[in-house]
Amino acid sequence: MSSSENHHDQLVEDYIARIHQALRDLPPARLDPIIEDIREHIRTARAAMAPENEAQIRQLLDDLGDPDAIRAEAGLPPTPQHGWTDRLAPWLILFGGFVLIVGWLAGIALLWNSSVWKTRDKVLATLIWPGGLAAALYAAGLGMTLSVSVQPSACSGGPGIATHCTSQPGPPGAFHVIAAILLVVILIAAPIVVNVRLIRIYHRSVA
Amino acid sequence: MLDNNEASWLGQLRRGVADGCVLALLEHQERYGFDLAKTLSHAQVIAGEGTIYPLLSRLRRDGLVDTVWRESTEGPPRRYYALTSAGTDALAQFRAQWTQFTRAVNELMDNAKEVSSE
Repeated sequence: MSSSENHHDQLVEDYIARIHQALRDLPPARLDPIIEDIREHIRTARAAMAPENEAQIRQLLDDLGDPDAIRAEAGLPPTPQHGWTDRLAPWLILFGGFVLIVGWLAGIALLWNSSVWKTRDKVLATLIWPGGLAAALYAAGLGMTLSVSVQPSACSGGPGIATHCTSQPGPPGAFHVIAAILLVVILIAAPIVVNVRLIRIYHRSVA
Repeated sequence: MLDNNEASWLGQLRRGVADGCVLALLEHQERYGFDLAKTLSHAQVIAGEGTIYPLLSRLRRDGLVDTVWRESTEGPPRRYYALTSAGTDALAQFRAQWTQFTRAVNELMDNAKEVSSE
C-alpha cells in the first residue's frame, strides 16, 4: 500500500471517528449498522476511483456531509457546548491529588458530570489511579523503599543460597533496580496516558 | 454546503419527504445504501449523502424496511434494504397524501383567483 493511500485511510478514519463522536448517544444496536454502512459507502466509492487522489477522498467525505447533520437525522439533539469544567477535569484528576485529596475529588466530580466522555473512559480515569499522580508517586516511593530493604534479607535467607548471593551481588541487584524502575514508569505513565486520552476526546468533541 | 444550514421551508420539506422517497425507491427492488444515497442526493432530496444512513436506521427500527446481506462482485457482501409489508402500507399512504397535497398546492399556485372554499 502506498503512503498516499495510508494518508487517505487516515482521512477516512478521522471522519469515521467524528461520526462516532457525533452519534455516541445512540445505543450500539443502532450506531454500529450506521457506521458499517458509512464505511461500506466509502469503500464502494473508493473502489470506483482508480487511481484515487486526495481531492477525490476529500470530496467523498464532503459529500457524505457534516457529522452534526448526520446526528440531527438520527433524531439526536445538537451536541451541547462544553464548558471550562470539561477542559479542567483531566488536569485536576492528574495533579489534584497534590492538593491534599480535594483537587482529585473535584476532578472526578467534574468528570462524571460531563457528557464528553463515555462511562468506560470515566471508569478508567477513576481507577488509574485514585489520587492521580500524587498517589502514583507515593506508591512508587513506597515500592522503592521496600525493594531496597527486601534485598539484603533475601541474601541472608537460607544457608544454601548464601554462596549464590555472594557470587552475584551485581546482576540480581541490577535486575531489581530495572524491574523497580519499570514499575515506577508504568505507575506514573498509566494515569498520564489515561488523562491525555481524556483531553484528546475533549478536543475532538469541540472540534 | 449551503444546504446543511438550511432552515428554510425547502429544507424542512425535504426532511419531511425523504422517508417517503426511500420507501418509493425500494418498492420494486432491494437497494444498498450507496445506491440510495447517490439517487436521493442527486434528486436533492437529501443534503449530505451520509444522512441516508441514520434515516435508514430509523425506518428499520420502525419496521418499514428490512436488511438482507447479498454477495457482491467486488469486495465483501453488502447490506441491502428491502420494503416490509408495513413499509408497503406506509408507502401507499404517503403516496396518496402526497398526490393530494401537491395537487392542492399546484392548484393554488396556478389559479389562486378562481379557487374558492367550496
